[in-house]
Parts: sequence; C-alpha cells; structure tokens
Amino acid sequence: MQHDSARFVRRMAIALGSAVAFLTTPVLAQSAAPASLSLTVSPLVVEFHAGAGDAATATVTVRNSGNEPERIVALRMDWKVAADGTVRVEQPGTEGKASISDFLRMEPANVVLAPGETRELALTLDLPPAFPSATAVYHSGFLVRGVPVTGNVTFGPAATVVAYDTVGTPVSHAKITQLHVSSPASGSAILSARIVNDGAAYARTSGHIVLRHDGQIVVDETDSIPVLFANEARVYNKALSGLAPGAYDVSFTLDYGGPTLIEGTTEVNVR
Amino acid sequence: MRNHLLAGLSATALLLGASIPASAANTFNVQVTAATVATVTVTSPGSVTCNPGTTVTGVVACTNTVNATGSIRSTKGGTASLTTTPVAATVVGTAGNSIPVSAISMTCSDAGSTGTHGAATFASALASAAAGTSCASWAGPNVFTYNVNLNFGIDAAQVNADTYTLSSGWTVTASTT
Repeated sequence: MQHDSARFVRRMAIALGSAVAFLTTPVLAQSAAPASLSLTVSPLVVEFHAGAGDAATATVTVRNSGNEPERIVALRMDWKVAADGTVRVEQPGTEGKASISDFLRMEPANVVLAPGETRELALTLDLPPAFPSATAVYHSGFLVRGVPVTGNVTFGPAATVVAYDTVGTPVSHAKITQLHVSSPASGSAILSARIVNDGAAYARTSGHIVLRHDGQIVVDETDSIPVLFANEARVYNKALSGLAPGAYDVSFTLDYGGPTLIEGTTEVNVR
Repeated sequence: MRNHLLAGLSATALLLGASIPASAANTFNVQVTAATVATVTVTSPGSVTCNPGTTVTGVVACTNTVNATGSIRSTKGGTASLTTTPVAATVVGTAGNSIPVSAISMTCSDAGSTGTHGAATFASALASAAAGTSCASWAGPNVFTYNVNLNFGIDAAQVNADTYTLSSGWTVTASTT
C-alpha cells in the first residue's frame, strides 16, 4: 500500500486554478493572466442601541476600487474574535442568544458596480417585540464580498461589517486574573496576562507594560487587546527582547474604558 | 525651549487676532468624523501549482504568490486583521480523490506595510473551511496601508495521486472590531 502511494505521489500534481476550464483538465502546463479585484467598505463597525420592537438603520458605503466591473454580495454572518485578534466568520446563528443575525438585513445585498463606482447600502436592525429586554450586548454582521461579474478568480476581496446592539446600559468592567512573566532565553522575557470581562458590556481593552531595572524604566509599551464580550477570557502574551540580565519589576495596567484602571505587578529575573 | 514655544504661540495669536474681523469672532466647532474603513485589493495568479514530485512527507512549497494590498482604519482599540477562507472543505481531483483543505498551509509575510499600527503578527497556518485562517493582524489603533504576500504549501503525506484544482471563491477578508 505504501509502495502504491509513493509511486502515485511521484506522478501527482496539485493545481489551484481559477478558470472554469481548469476544472476538467490537468493544470500543470496551463497558466492564466493574474486577476485583480478591489473593494472598499466603510464603516466596518456599526453600533446600534435598539431594544425590543425598535428598528434602526445605518449606511454602509461600498466602492469598486478596481479596474473591472465587480459584483458586491453581502452575506449575513455571525463572528467571534480569535486569540490573535482576527475575526472568524461563522454561520448566522452560531453565537446563539448573542446573535442578532435573524434581525439584520442589508439592502441591496447584491449589486454590480462599475470601476470606481460607489453605492450606499442600508444596514437595518429590526427587532421584534419579543426580543429580550435584558441589559446586554448582541452582535452579528455581514461579510461583504467582491466577485467578478463574469468568469472566476481563485482569490477575491472581502471585508466584514460587524454590528453591535446594546440593550439597556450594561456595566463595563474587566479584570486581570493571572499575571506571569518568564525569561525563556537570554535577554528576553514573555509576559502572559489572563484578562476576564466580568462586566455586561463588551470591552475594547488596552494593556500598558512597564519594566523597571535598577530603578530605571526600560520598557514602556501599550498594546490594544482584541474585543472581549461579557464573561469571555483571553490570555494576552507579549514578548520582550533586548533586556540586560538581572531583576526587573513588572507592571501591567489594564484600561477597559471604564472609570478605573486595573494594575497587576510581579517580578522577573532575565537571564 | 518651552519659553520660545510660548512666545511663538503668543505672536501667532496676536497676528490672528489682528487679522480676524469682529463679525467673525464668534466661536465655532469643527467636527471631523473618520469612519472605520478597509480597502482590499487581491491579485492572484491564474493558478497556484503544488507539485510534491518525489516527496512523500513534509510540506512542499507551491509556486506563485497571492498578494493583498489596501488600507485599514480601525477604532482606537480595534485590532485589524486579514483572514483567508476557502470555498469548500475539500479539494477533489479529476480522478475522484479528495484532500482536505487543511492539507494546504498558508504563510503570510509583510511586503511593505506603512503607516500607524500596533504590533503586527503574520501567521503561518493550515487552511480551514470552517473558521478561515489567520493571515495577519495589527494591534490598534490603525491607520495604515498594508502589502501582504500569501504563499502556499501542501502536506505531501496527505495527497493521493491525482490532479486537483481548487474551486474559485477563496476570500481574503479585512476586518476590525
């Protein structure tokens, strides 16, 4: 069996092609001209404050920034944020009770734009009277894709429009539940902080890192931390390099956008 | 130095005060609204060809590169990101074999991004039809142009002999939260 596989693999070729004609013929000897599509979308973040029985509308502007006619397609989605901050598109409804995908629409959801043409799309949230009235933040959105009017391309552009709906006035708060700094190699340190959103609103937090060595500040950096929804936790990691060997006092201050700052302190011996 | 700056400001204020007519002395507000925005331009070759040849283990690099350029303005604390999503979970060969898209790995690299952004992370990961694949992320605040190359590889151990063509419809998606 292994011999057969090895023999076959020697003859094997894989091609990732774009033209329909490629689907029925071997592709190794074929080539096609590079294809380029371009899309501009604004805004990427829409904040609603609508409750049960309310309707609200925002305008999303799309532009064909390329040189060929382009079809713009808006697809409903749910989404979550990965640990590295990237947005992961999900099927509508995946986020369960936090999803408002059933109540969002974008019109028109399918439009052809000439090169350079701009179009305004209406993003509407229409909540039924039976929608929960509990104070909370809900979210869903749209994946806006640019596809060719004729033919195909392997890779095309897209952008997400994330929509939040805040019901009531949720309390914002976050906390640091763990803080650890290690020195895995000479001159370097890795800070790990576990952050928990223990409020009811979503939190766009930032972390301020200060390292002191012999009384002198040698590191003073601020990073934004990807959005955290209520009751979510995330481990924030930060690699630091170029440090002289010795003992350091470490301060990590979390700004969650509320009236207070949360600080954690520790020490590390850099090798 | 500080005194010089103050003196300069005073002189400027005096000049402005002298040149503005009384009727224009009313206060007014200037409002600037800059929305979050992303432009994504994806240039892809006609085909990305992966040929493991005699290799039966490990990742073999594919030919050609997909290039993504554009710009992103995020919220103050919003992370900006690029992800890639395939159109299907499997790639089917002309002889009926199939491979999971997770046999395809993607490596993203900076090809000349400029502007204001936080720490940048460029990913090397396996393709995923379910959740997409991280390509790059930039901690906020972001007002910048990016230029990112996407290179592909194939896990030779997962590939039976066949000729495979990926369906069109992969996306390179720009996001911020």
